[in-house]
Amino acid sequence: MDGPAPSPAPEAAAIAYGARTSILAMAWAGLLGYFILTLLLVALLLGDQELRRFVLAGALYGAYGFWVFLKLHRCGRKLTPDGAQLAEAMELHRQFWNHAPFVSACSIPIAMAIFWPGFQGR
Amino acid sequence: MPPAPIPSSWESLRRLRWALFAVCTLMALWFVLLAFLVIATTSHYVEILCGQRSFSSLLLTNSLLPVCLGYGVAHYLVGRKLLALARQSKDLAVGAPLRPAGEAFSSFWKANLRAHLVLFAFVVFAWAMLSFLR
Repeated sequence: MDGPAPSPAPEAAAIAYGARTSILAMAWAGLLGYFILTLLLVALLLGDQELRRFVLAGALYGAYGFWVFLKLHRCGRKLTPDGAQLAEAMELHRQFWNHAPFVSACSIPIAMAIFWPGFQGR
Repeated sequence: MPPAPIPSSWESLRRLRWALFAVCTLMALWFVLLAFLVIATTSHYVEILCGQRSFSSLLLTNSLLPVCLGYGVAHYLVGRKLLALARQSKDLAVGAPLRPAGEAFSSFWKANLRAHLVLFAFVVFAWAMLSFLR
């Protein structure tokens, strides 16, 4: 693409600004959720002698999720009514979704591990 | 080394679509996992209560069936908004009006937040009921 990127229409920026509160709320929920999930996972791994070597992997996974949700939080903060930082916000939004499938996919076996006693009827 | 230039809003949205389609697939996977979790954790008790092992009977007599269905419906509604955003991103050309994509973006995030608020409210309610009625 030649030359600077065309600036977005103010109307579109104002519409995108409507998602700011929702994005910030979801980002805070994600940050809190990943903190709690990491604590649960690390506690689970520490409680099992055979799984103690995976504690670092669990902590790294939590840190990855935290980093991904920080991107969403930064995206929300850059959504302003005048759309001055809309391009940056959209780029952060794209980066968030690029990592979100991996975070979500990794959560499935972890959720299975946490709820495994429940599956077995204990 | 100068920092990499920030792509335009159009370019970012256009490059986003594969991730959105991937997330739609993962949402379906999450739904299957939760359905399995609810059925697997309660099947033992349902078996004792009903005295039968039929899967459909287990599902229909499970007291958490409405919750399961609600979870599925929420995934469908939010997934539809996400698909709309993915479609708008796919058709976006440089310089094209951003309004439809902006609306899809805003609409998805609002629906997503509402669905999660309902989920959190249910989890808190269930936790409170289990704590106080034990």
